[in-house]
Amino acid sequence: MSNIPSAAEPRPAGEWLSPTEALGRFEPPQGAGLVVAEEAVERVRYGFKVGSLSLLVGPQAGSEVGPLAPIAGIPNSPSWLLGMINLRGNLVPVFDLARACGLDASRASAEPGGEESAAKPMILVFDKGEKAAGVLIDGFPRALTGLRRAGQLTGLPEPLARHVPAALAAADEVWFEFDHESFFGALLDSGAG
Amino acid sequence: MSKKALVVDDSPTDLANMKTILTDAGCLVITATNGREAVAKAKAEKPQVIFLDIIMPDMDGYEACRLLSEDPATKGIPVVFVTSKGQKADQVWGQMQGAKGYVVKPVTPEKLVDQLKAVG
Repeated sequence: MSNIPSAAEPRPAGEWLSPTEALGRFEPPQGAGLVVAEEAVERVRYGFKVGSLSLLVGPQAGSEVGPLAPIAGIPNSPSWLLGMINLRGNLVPVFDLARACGLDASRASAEPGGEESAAKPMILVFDKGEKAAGVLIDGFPRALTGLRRAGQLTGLPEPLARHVPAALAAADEVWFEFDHESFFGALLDSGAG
Repeated sequence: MSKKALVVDDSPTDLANMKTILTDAGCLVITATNGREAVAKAKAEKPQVIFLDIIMPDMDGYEACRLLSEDPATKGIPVVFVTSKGQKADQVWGQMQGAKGYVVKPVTPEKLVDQLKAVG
């Protein structure tokens, strides 16, 4: 039972259209079309590399970065869950995105706690407290500005594709915006199953 | 004219030490004990420089620095991290949050006054 008249029914003068009807009646002006413009993204973002992937997160997403710390493995856990690190008394899970995405995870080996360099693996920690999660990344993150919408989302590994809402370009490189919260959620759901 | 400096640290000892050093260097010093309080005091007091610890309860220095550098009211205030986190990664990450300087504890008058001069 509904008080909203259907589209086929005659409508008394002055009565509001339903949202569906109103949207359905819209016709773009002649000559107007959908234009995917290159839109500048002004805010600084952090770019980081995982294997061949170049990923981006917002400035509030990454809480800190550090050299590869000793990781305590968890028996019978999926291969993409490397284990836990002790971050000032807080246990933080560390994920290997490359393995989770089925990429070649070959990286320059580094001794935990060794002198870090641009190419060595590091741990980028997302969020804080109980939500904190670390990922293994290749080298330091980079602060990127002047990014432009690239428009195409191609070449993404399937496990990552649903968690990348946009591709942005800086200089000659395309960076994929990474929704870490939804990715980690999906990863843990798949691991629990 | 004396400089107004905001010093932020959850350690009363470090806070008192830095306050003494900066007061002796001619600064007018205001203090806060966590990042959230620091952001509020920076907006209200408009200091000319902020000395900010990183590991603090409630809101850490990284987050406070990000908020300060994004807010038009405070983004012009130079932030110097003063911390026991002494690895290169920490310094690089600190710069990426918008800090203009980095002092590794223990704090000495030379280190702090050098940073005070360096940030103008």
